[in-house]
Amino acid sequence: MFRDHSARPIKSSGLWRLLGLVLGCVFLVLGVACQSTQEAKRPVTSTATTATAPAANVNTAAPATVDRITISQDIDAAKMDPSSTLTGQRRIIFAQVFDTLIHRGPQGEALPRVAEKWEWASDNKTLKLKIRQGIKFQNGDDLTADDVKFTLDRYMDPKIDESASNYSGIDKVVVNDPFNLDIVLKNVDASFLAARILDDIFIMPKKYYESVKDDFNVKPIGSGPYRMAEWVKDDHMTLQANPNYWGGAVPVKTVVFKPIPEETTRVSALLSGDTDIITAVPSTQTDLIKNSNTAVLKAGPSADLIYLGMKPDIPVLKDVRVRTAVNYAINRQAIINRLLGDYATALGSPLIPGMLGYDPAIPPYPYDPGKAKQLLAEAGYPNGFQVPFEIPIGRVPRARDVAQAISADLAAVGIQADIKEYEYNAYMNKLYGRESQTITGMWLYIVRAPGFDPDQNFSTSFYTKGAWNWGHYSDPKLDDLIIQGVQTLDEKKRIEVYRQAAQMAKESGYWAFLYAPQSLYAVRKADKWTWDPRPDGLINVWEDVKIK
Amino acid sequence: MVSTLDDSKRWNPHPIAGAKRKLVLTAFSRARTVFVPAAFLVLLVIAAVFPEQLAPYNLAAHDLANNVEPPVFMPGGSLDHLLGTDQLGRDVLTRIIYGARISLAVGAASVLIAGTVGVILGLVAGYWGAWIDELITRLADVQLAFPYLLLAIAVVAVVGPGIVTIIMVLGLTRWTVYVRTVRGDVLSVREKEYLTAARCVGASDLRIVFHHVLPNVIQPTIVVATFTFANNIVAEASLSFLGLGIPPPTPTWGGMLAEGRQYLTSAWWIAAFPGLALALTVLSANLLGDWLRDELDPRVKRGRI
Amino acid sequence: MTVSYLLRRLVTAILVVIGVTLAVFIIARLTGDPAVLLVGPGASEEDIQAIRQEFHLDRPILEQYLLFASGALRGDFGRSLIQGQPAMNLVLERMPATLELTFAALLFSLVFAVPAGITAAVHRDSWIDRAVMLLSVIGQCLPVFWLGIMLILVFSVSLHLLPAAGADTPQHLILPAITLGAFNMARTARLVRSGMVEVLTSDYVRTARAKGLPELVVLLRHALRNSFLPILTVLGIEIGQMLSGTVVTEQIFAWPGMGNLALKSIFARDFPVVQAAVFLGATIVVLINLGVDFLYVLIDPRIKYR
Repeated sequence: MFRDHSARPIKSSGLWRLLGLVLGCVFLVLGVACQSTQEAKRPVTSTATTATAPAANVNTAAPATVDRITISQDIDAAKMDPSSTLTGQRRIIFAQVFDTLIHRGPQGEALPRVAEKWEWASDNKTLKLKIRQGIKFQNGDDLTADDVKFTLDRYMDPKIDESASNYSGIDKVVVNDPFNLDIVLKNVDASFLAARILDDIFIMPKKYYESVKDDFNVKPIGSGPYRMAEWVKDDHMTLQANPNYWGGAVPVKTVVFKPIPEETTRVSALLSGDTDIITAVPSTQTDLIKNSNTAVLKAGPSADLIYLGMKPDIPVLKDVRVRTAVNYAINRQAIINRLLGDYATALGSPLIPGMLGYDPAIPPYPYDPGKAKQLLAEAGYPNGFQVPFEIPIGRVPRARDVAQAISADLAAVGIQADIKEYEYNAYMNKLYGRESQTITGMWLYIVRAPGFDPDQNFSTSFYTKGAWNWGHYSDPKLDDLIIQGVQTLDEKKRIEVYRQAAQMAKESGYWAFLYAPQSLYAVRKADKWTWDPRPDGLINVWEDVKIK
Repeated sequence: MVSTLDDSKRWNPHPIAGAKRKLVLTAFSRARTVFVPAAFLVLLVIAAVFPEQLAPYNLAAHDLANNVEPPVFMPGGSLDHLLGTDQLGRDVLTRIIYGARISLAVGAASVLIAGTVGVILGLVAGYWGAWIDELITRLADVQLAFPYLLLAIAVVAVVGPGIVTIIMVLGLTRWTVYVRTVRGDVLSVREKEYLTAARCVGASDLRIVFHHVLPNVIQPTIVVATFTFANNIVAEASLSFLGLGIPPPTPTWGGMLAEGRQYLTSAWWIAAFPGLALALTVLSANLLGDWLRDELDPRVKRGRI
Repeated sequence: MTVSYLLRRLVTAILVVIGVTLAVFIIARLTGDPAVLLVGPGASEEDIQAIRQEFHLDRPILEQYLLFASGALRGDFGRSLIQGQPAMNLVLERMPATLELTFAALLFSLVFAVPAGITAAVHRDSWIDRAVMLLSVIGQCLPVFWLGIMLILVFSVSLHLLPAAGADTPQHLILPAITLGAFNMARTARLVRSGMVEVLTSDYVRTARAKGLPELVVLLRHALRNSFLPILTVLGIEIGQMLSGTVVTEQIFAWPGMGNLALKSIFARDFPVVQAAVFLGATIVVLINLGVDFLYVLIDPRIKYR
């Protein structure tokens, strides 16, 4: 129950650490005149859980069958407050510690979790939720509707949450009694559950948060199947099975997150047995894993879409025929085959595989340089033209290679796309159009629709006022369809609307949809357990790890 | 990691190699340590000036369908691509030849900037002394205690990545070595008789500095420059590793090395050959630097006379 | 060594730290406005302005610096924009890991470089000399990340001898320490060699030899002691360089140190953490150099400081 210090191996490097600490203190005393308010502490361990957890439940602890699984992603959780931006990596960590309001099943279906039942009121704008009774946070406090409202209010606050705009459709959250609450929307929103709620709202304890405030970032408490036992930032985070978990026994006693930023090292660490599951395997290393006898490669769907954008108000890109020509000129299949190891699906619209309404009948533009040249000639550019092609450093996997391959394809039809690379934050300023920066031609970027709802790609990037509509594309007819799509509750009709919208988006040529990459993982071959990726990109250890 | 090799020279700008050594050094062994690296560098310069004539392919030639082809001596290799092709199907040899231009340019230009700034500051500090010496020395201390990666990221963020950026970053961070060397040398010649004589005949400070002091301190500077040249080429590779290098499609050895690390286990030639080119260049520059230091060291010369 | 000299060195050391923090302050702010990046694309201009005000980013830069400096004097370096924790705490948490790695690398480089340099100097122009020199030059040709990845591939993936990433056990320290220390080892070997060569050809060594002292005594008591000073200086510089040079090594080996944190924070424009890290790093470097200067005087009584 309590963290067992003696169980960890005694380190002889402790001497060095001690020496380091002593030296550090000396320097500090010398360097800072009065460094009195803070103290050097390493490691950052969370003791909050041990301090407040009920003490004598050891025998009710579930009989876990696997002792320890280590998961290595590229980055650590910067802070453990789920109500600030949720990157994919952080979601994977939060998913062990916190319960979500409503769970997403393997097929994308909504399953009860903290909310036992839910239904839309007759106005279709009020979601009435019944909270499961008897859920306790890891400090013993009951989880009630107040905690849910507290959490949602934080998600909606732009000062707390970078992506608060995602929840701007919520008008208010009303607590009716300790186990009933309403989420009231401003407008009817057919995408709401899938896009905003399912496995997205990680319930935080109001009372505990208010007593520790910012310390919650390092000493989080949730009601989930695991509780944090130790966290040395950027080194490891140890999660122990929560013996009081309302959902019952979990298959793995201890889950360790050990971030490894360098891709080649991450793969090496898996192959040498330092870690059990790695995420974001680069497509360049897949053969190494496939040929090894200690690890298996696993591919799962991802919510990502990689595209090349063309700013429609740039003179050379104004003509839809030019944009269509660019679409025909790109050899998507060669990129997927030669650069991405076939771990991607070529796209013709904002709808990605696994998404509601995805339709292979809206195929990608075929590779047809002849057609591209012809369209360019029709548009008045028989000899092509020159255009900047701006790409970010980082963020888009293998952006450099993909951009160069595209640039070579474009050169073949006469378009000289000059690749310009930008440091990530400078690039964001360009996209956001802030600090008088702007995109000056074509760009390469990624969008993510973790809820697999088509609205997540349409209303953000193709709607005139969309938050990620970096190129300021505007088509009133498409806008109407997007609004219609979000307001149509009948799923069949909704799918029809989005297929129509997808066709329009394709024909606009505003984006050259490139591909939907798969999420690549590698898993150490273990005797006792197996793990397979789930469609939504999360790793729910308590649910997905299967004991042999 | 990358660091200024010759900070060490603070304590002694001319480590003496021993007069005797020169006498036993036969013409043959000198040829080995001087001629081979010098010839290699000359070859590189030729490659850097005439890549269009030397490279088997056009720089822009891509062939995605034939990517990661092994070099000629491996099974599956062909005479079309002697050193194989990279992930985008580009000829590795072609890119190495074009890359020579960038690597040499980065090395030389950053050394020129750092050297000019450093020599001037060193002359000023050493000759005029007093508060300006103190100021320049402290400035160098600040520079040395300042993480140069922060500067690199700042320049990349403001100017954008590119050849000029890399040259600026390396040029603006590596001047302290020169200040140290030059300042020390100036201090040692400042009170020499011929300077006093020059002052007596009414030569201006500026004239003395440029006509009498500078020639005496320029030789060790050249030695330092050889070493920093080598280091800056390595530094470019490290910046590439962090994603701050020269952006595509410009071929640089460091960039090829950094990107090729992904393929080390499947297509080693993508990184290994540029790595070899880089290592040989740095090795040659270092060997030449060693030789120059021995040759130009006034005490060694005096010992010979 | 007088009290006034000591005081003067201390004052200049403080000035250098102030200079470094001021430079970081200005340069960091040239790279862009963190407020813009902290809010999402949907945020309004008011949201951005609110964040600017919260972190005083809307004030003139000099005022911001004075706020920072007065905070720093009280030990308050502000809160991390990204991690929501006091910036200095975050840096201090990482410092032991970085110092551990730095000292291990230094130890590694010295253990190999000093004997190699001495041997090369003693057997000058022999094949031993050539081999040491060649190896040391090769050590300087390898980019750090390259060496690190190679070591991982050989010792972790192929031989399964050492772990590839992390900082859990003493074994985890070996590969990063070799990676970080290799460059300095090569350089130190060259310096020790040239220092020894100079000493060995000097008059007093010739005198000692002429007196008929055994070669080992000459070597250890007369020569090594006198070539110790330059090595000491180099050590001071090297520790400083290694401290800032750990970034790449830490990145490759997922070593949870200051370099790792600093790099992340710079990319994320987490100014308070960058400032705290640079302040601490600069303080350490300056203090080490100060210490070296004082040691100099203690070891070599001939050196007098005004």
